[in-house]
Amino acid sequence: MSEPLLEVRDLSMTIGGRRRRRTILRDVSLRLDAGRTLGLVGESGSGKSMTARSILRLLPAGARTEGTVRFDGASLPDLSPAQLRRVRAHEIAMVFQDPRAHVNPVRTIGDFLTEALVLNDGVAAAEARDRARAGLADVGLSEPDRRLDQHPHELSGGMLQRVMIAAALLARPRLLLADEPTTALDVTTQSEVMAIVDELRRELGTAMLFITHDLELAAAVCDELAVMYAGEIVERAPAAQLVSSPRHPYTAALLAARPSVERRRARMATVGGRPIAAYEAGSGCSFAPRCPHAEERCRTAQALRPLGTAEVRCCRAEELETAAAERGEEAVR
Amino acid sequence: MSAVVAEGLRKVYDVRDADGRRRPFAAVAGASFTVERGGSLGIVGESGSGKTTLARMLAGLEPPSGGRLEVCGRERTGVSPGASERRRRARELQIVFQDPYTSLNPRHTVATCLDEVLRVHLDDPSRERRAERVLELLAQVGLDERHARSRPRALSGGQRQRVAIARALAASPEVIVLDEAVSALDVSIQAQILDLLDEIRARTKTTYLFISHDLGVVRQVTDELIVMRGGEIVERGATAAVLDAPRHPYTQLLRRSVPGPGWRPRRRSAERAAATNERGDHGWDA
Repeated sequence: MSEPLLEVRDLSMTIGGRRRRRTILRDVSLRLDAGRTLGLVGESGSGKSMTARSILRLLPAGARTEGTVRFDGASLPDLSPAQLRRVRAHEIAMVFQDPRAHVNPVRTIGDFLTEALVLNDGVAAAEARDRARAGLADVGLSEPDRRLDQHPHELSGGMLQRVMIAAALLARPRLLLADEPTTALDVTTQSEVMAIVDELRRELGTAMLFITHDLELAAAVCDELAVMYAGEIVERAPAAQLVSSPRHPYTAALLAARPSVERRRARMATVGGRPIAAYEAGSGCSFAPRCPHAEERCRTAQALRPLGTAEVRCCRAEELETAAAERGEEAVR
Repeated sequence: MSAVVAEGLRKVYDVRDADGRRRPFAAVAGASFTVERGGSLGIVGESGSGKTTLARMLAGLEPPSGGRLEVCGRERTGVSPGASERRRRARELQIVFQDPYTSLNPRHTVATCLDEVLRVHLDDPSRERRAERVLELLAQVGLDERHARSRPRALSGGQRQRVAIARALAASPEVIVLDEAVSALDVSIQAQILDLLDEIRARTKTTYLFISHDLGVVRQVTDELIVMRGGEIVERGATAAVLDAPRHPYTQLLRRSVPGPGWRPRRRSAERAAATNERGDHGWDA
């Protein structure tokens, strides 16, 4: 197996002061090969955003991490500030959920797009502007020339998110971290923005870590999916397989909880309670308190273990699968 | 009897265009619909389609610029209702907002928040009866005594939204307007709230007006559907029929944009041009 582009191994993270430390991530491991896409799916507090942020070391104050994060063979936590800046400028780009919170409102779109090119790459101002214009055209914005002189408030959320994507891809990064890039957008705009990301990413050969709460959206644009719950990965599998035959009861519950546009269900909820954060989890399976299939042995710690082409953190995965097959259903659904 | 009747409901704002000239802008350009008692009407559309303005007019938070609105058989278009009329209107229609973080008073316990409503609306507003009713309401939305003593910040998003629903129910309204009331919730919590809304409607025959951008959610909790775009209703019908066989190009586009098995995101410049009507590109970007 060749060296992966990104390899995260046993990443754990805690935040807070000396008196009260809180666990945010627990033993998160993932790998992503050059040009591939991995979707990181979970509900709020599951740790999906923190996983992405800790790759770029965009950590909250007081955060402590353990474990390894290797990008292209280099250990990111061990880089000097200057080296880390270089990685952020050229190798790994990030797009956030709320574009307005990540752009300077008093600078023009042109300034925003050309700043990095001029400062990091020493590109001449006129050429940087040409490249910015081309970038805006790539993401499907009309009148790119006029946009360059506009300010963020003159653009709608969908337009601004396209500007952010253009900015992220201008440096031709090898990895794109996309954190809920379409969650704030209308569904038709979401479709368009995802298509643009997908198309440009393929052209540039950029790998993508796509963070979202929407399993079906992730399945549509990713090669592989990893589902997070309470700060740990509970299932990882090829995208189509994870959605059609989930192995972990939480994945199955997530799929069942999404109302379908195709049919109405007699009842929606298959699990009670609310998603918990990592620091609320006990020593056993973190999903056990809500799991309809939990039994005595679920109270012990669960390891993420291989199961066919997937990995699953559930000691009952095989028998649940068999039981479901006997009932003629898909997995534990 | 119809719970809600809207006829040519309009809301026109004065806005400044790019050159600073004032011009009228119709956020809602004449909406007509009827919801029967115990029915559930979904209103879908993108941001800028006018659906929230419509919700605000229904709740009396925004005076209509024109048209007629009737709730529980009584005209609503008259201006400046007095105290008793406002009280009566509150018993007819309540609204639940999207964000349970800003729609509850952070200084009030859950019990106080419900009690406030009960003082005004309960037929027998004795202290004992109110306390009893607070617990009944909380039980209806799956909360208990412990939650009654909590302040909103001690509750999760899903619990807050349950409180917001309990508060709407406290006035025993005929009609509840839910404006993106489940959009901010995690899917496992959203599923619980959708079940809860179904149960409440089955039990109390409450009428819902359910405003959402989420077609899956709308399919789950509504019988009838209105699709809005640029302030106008572009399609209406039984929810299942509209979603299974959308007729208007814009509804078709909406329907196609929902991710699901086999779905691929698509650039749609050509489709967009086809779906854009003469109102120009309001509500669309680029």
